[in-house]
Amino acid sequence: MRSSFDDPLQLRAVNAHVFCSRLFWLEYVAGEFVDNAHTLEGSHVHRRVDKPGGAMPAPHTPDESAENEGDDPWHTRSLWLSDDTSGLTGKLDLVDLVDEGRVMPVDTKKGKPTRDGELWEADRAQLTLQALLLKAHGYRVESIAAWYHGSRQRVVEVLTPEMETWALGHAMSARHTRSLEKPPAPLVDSPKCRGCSLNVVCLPDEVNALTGGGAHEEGEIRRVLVPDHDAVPVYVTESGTRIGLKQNMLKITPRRGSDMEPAEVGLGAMSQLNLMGGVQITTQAMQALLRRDVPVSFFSYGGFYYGRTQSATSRNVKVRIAQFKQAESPVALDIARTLIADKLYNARVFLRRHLPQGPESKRVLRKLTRIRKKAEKAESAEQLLGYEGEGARQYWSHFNALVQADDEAWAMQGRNRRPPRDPVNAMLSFGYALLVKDAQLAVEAAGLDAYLGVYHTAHHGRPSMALDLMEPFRRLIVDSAVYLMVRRGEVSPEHFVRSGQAVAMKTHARKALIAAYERRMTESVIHPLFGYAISYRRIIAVQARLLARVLTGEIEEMPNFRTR
Amino acid sequence: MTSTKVRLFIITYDITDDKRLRRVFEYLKQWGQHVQYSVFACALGPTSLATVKTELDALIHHDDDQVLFFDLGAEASRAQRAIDYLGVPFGPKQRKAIVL
Repeated sequence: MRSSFDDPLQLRAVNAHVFCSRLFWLEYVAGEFVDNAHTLEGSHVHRRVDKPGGAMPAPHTPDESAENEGDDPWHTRSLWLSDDTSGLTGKLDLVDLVDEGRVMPVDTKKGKPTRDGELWEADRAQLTLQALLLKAHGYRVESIAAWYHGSRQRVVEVLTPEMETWALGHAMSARHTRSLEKPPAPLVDSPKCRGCSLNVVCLPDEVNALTGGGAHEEGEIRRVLVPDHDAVPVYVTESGTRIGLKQNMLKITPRRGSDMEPAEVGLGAMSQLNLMGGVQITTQAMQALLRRDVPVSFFSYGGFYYGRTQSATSRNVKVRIAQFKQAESPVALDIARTLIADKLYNARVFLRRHLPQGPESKRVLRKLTRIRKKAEKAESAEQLLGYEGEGARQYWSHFNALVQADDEAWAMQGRNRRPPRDPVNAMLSFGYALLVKDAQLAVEAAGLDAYLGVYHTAHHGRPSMALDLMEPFRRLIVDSAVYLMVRRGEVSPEHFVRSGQAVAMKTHARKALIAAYERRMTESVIHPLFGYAISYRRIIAVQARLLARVLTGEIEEMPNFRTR
Repeated sequence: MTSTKVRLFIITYDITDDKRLRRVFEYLKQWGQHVQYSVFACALGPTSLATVKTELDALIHHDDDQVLFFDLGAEASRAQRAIDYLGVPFGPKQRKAIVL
């Protein structure tokens, strides 16, 4: 592979590197970028300076061309300069003419200067290198400045030779970081992480805890600094419904004769759109959803998950390369073992919570523990599959006893699918399809290819990695939602139809199940390793990111997810 | 420092041109509840808030129009208590999945 050491280095990348070398690596080497409040405000502040304007006069003849923009003092906006000798390239927000022959680069920054009213180190490095670029093009530069939008003040500093050496040193170490195969370790307990747009990708405290960096005691991890979800998922479950776009709203019109109410849902308040069965959606609506990065997932009427649209795949190819390299390696088996052991563990937790205490429950709980311990030592995927099956048989026969305790109508003939042959299996299948959808969103957000798993073999059209990732969560999210629905009488046997062998849900049951599933997904639980409260939806996202880190080798072992 | 929590904002506006007024109204509708003429209640996280500000900023005329953001605090706790009403009842909508 060609070394990227000598590729031109962007000055704003050096700025990022001074701030945090891991941020620099994730953004400029791995291609991760996440918009957050800070970056959005940043680009908002930059609007004006990004409009190119004002011709730049030649270095030694400023007078002749200095009359740009009438009587305004001479300046140039958004000037792009490169220098092959130093290998630096960058866009200069603004260049001011100080006096004859002397210019000063001015950069627009979102925040405020340091408490002492000085330039931030990262800004100083970037501006010093801008000055060097100008010098390389023959200009005289003796000072640099930043316009801090937050406090509306310009901070000017005199350029010294020491600053130049120092800034070039930073450029050099940025080049070094760029040649690394793995990202540098996260900062430890740094206040910088809080506002950093990449903290959801970087997971500084979680990674440090798992790699021993920063020596965290158990339970000392700070909360993942990820904003709450302010948008909600939307499900359209009735065939024949039409979805169009009206301004910034989705206009949802039921088919004639349906008792569903027409609805308008704002694009801004929506996190995902899920369509079940023959729902019509216009191109205009699809485009608006793609523009807002709202994924649209498609299911058959019976709840089979077809797939989803996406506006862009993750640019982090390093993760995908690692995923394919590790596909049949011991690392993949390691991860699979953890996922299946967690699945067995959580199945036991589910039964322990709900089974009436007695010798019978004791027996099955002991058995599940034994199987789980064997699974932890499985030497091949085939062996693992065997233990998983053994555990499933134990689990389902008892799950069966639980659901039919009050009403024989809920009896199930073990777990069966395609088509499900009893109401409980119909609900389980539908619920797992919803979970695959959310697991796939998490897997793809982490930069992984959903169709190549570590355990489920690549099977035509099956998002194996999503299926792998969701293993520990099936019992806790779907089975639990189904069980509670039955227990609380939220569904009854007449909400199902039988045709031949197959049993399908009627509208009421489908809607009730989606609602129960979503309640579960937004429920907060304490993360067993990190000790903070977090929703199931977020946990799945975090586990997907950590799984990707195991594949790239940053973390050694797949962290468990086991509830108490 | 920006909070990572979802907060309830009352957004009010005074727009001097009918066409822009319509646009601002249509724009805000997608983010939350239309409460009264020129008044919206929107539960926004930091990213959404920044998006709303940036996009509204491009719709209005800075010399003539005005948009105000009142932060009622964390949606889950404080904001609920910050609102009282006379006449027609008002309560901020609960955010949960929409199943149609």
